[in-house]
Amino acid sequence: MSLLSESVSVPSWLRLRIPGIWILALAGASAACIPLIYLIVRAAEADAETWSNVLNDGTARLLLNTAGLTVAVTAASAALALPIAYLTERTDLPFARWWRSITIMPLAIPSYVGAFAFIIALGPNGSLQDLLAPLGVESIPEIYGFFGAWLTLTLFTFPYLLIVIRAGLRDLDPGIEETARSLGHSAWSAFWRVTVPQLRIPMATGSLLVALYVIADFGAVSMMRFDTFTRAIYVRIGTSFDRSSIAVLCLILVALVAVVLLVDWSQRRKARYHRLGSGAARMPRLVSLRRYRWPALLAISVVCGIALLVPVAVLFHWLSVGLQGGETFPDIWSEALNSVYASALAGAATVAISIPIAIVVVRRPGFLARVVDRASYVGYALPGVVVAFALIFFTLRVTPSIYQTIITLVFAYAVLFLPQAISGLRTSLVRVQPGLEEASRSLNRSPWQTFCSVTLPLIAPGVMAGFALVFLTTMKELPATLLLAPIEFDTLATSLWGHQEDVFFARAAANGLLLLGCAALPMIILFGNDRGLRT
Amino acid sequence: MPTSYSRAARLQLPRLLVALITLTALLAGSFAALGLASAQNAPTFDVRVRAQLHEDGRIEFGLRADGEVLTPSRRFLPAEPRIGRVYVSTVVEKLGVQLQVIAIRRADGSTEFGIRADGETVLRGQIFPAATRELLWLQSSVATVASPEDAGDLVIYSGRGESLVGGLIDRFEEQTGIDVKVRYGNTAALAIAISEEGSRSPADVYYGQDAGALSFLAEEALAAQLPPDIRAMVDRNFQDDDGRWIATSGRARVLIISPDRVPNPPDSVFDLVDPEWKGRIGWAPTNGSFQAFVTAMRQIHGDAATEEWLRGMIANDVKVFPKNTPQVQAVGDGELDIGLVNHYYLFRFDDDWPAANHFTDSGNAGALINVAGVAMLEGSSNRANALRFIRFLLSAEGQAYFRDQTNEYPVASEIDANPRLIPLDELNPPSLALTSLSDLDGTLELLRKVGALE
Repeated sequence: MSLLSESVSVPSWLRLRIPGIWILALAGASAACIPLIYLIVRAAEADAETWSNVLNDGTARLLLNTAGLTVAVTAASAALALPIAYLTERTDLPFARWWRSITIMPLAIPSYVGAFAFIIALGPNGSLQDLLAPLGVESIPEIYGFFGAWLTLTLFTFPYLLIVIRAGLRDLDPGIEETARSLGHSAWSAFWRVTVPQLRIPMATGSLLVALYVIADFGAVSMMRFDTFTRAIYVRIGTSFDRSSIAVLCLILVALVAVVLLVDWSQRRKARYHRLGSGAARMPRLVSLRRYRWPALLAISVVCGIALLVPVAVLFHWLSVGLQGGETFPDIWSEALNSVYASALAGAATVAISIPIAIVVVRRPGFLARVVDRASYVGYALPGVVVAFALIFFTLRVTPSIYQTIITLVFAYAVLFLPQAISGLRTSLVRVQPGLEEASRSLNRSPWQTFCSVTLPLIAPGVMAGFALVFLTTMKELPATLLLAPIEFDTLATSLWGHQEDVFFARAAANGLLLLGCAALPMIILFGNDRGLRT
Repeated sequence: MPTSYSRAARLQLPRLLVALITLTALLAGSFAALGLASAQNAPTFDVRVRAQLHEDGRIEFGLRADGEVLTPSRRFLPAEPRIGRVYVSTVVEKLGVQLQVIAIRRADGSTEFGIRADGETVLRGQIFPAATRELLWLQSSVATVASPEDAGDLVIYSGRGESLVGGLIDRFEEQTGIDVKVRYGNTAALAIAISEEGSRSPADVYYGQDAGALSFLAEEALAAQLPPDIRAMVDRNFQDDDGRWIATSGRARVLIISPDRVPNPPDSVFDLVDPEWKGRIGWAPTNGSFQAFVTAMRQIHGDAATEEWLRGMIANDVKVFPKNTPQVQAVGDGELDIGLVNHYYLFRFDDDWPAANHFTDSGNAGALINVAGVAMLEGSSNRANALRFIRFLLSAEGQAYFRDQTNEYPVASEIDANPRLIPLDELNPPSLALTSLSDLDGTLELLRKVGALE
């Protein structure tokens, strides 16, 4: 690990030479903090009685539940994502390029649909039990509760880690591993002693994405009947209508998130991950799996089978049940168009907002950069419905003319999913030698020209990873879309929700399948192409 | 140079970005074009009279407007009408135009038909011959009618789903020509959104699933007082004391049971704590209807009795469900024997689904009737249209829709009962004003205290 050397720090006043980037970065981070400001305003209206009402004996248990689930899901996701990323990027796994697209598809399945599918398949008297009954299996373990929530969330969020780790792997200099191999390490040992430590930043950012997603998730935990903090917030919204007590509850959640962010902060040491010398300009050699080839294929098939086939099978089952029951196949092309349109805009806008933040975080490290980085996570860690309330509050006071337009909606998506884009970007950015940018500047290019001609092409995989993450997450976003979209702007997710709520199975299933299809297409274009975007 | 970075990537990224931006612009353009196209669509429609001779000599008549058959409630010309007298049908509405059929028996035995639109005759001299085949619809020639220039807009925030009430709202739009926009969402989240929007809310009408959210809007003075004629249409128990919201349909709390496994269902929810039902019962403590039911129990039987019942249920190993539908599912799947739900969830399943509604006949909270209802918002800029919508929901047509399409109980007009349901007046609900169900905080506290809710 001699290549990880401490970076030389520049005095902070020198770094402020270009305030433009800071203005953009601070503006982006402040946008993500709008929900926090809203919560503080509303919580200030709460009296002592509200506080004591909210902070009862159950609170500690809720926090413990939430923390336990978060840790368990994050650990399991890392255990899935790291080998899958390595297998699909660096080995001769059969059909590797297809697996690259397929393994991130679980992200397109809304967690409430996934949970519902698992209940049908694995629940009491579900399909699995029917299959096992002839073998003499009387009952299978209860899916409701911690286990079900853990299983659902792990299988539908591990691709967040996967995408980020994979972007990190692609940017890794193969020379480091080769050096390790030439020094007598086996492929296995080189992986653990060289590759994995180099992936520390992707692992950390990806884990943070998973952890905070779990904290803010409502769909899976409510279907699986596991009490977390976010579920408690939704229950309170559904029953008390008291905005100040909802805000108090959310602030406690923010405190929990702050702890997670601080733990992550203390984990990140200053280190340099980019190349110092000229390096080797070529693709890494694929590791031959030899006799492990087919077991590896089996393992990856099982994971994707459970995460994708079970929900898809349940959706097809609904579709056939509904169609047999006399429902007609619904006309949902406009919903599909709306979904793709809003998600593509959200992806592009969020990546655009996140670029200055990522640059500041990577290129101008220091206290302020860390604050900017942490602040950008606030919106992401809060339940979507609360972010929607905050943006109603904010938009109507500041820019009422754009209320309930596509602009507000895309802005809301950016506030919600900013960290996803940043995570995609920074893993790429840390690999870019600052010397290249400095050379461009010394050749009299403006910072903007330098960014366009040097930095942007080099971080292309990160840009694509960030776009893909935000696009996929936006496709299935529900609570903020319901409240902030232009009126009668139906998306596949809102339509799926509406029909599932009213038990029109065929229509709900058609929406779900089309959602998956719309999400799959861009992923195949972006990640299925072997040569295209790999660096 | 760093780099295993290929030339292809350098070329492809700008291309992709350009493609993305072009796609976005195209999409935005097509949306705008669609919007313009629909705005320019002049609101006119074609209408014609249709009539048929019945075997008893009467002539039945109606209208067909843009292919849609409109049937007035008074639509028969007697077998022997007075010659030369003008007979007029009752009014039917289309795009805000009030249409009537006029009929005159002429001396030669033939009948002359015409159409009145908003009181003006737009079609006349359509002759229905004296000797025609019986029970065969004949159609007149066409009159083109323009609807009023602009019937205005209406924005509804609906906590009830589109697949439940969308058809009814479309019907209203069709009849009145009002441009109705609906935001569908969660009942509670939409109510809180309205309170965040305050006076700037774009919404004119709030249509909610339960009395709690409606009472919240009334208490916050966000809902406006409804006029006396609307208030007189519905029982006082099914509306706000100040008339700031009014019920549109009702639902009964029932036990969803498996007829096979529960041949003798209990007649009161209080019997469910009996050891006989241990491990066989389910509830959905986070569900709004369930909490309204517990609130009713507290009002009628007191907190102590309610707490005892809740603890009894938990001691009886009650299974917890996220909402009502999964309980009906679970009963059919054999996972559960008795669930506490609303009556209409069963009708969302196939007719042969192995579960049945059991209406408890106790007069206690277990037989509570709760409502879906509607409020006009204080900040509404389309009050006339908002009131028109509320009147429509309470009209015979609106109430029949709830009876037939959502399997709920009508609360206003006198129409025949749903054959699948026990009629409202044969039920034995507790006598309790729904506005007294607003103390949800107390209920939540109790549910938390006994451990039913975290």
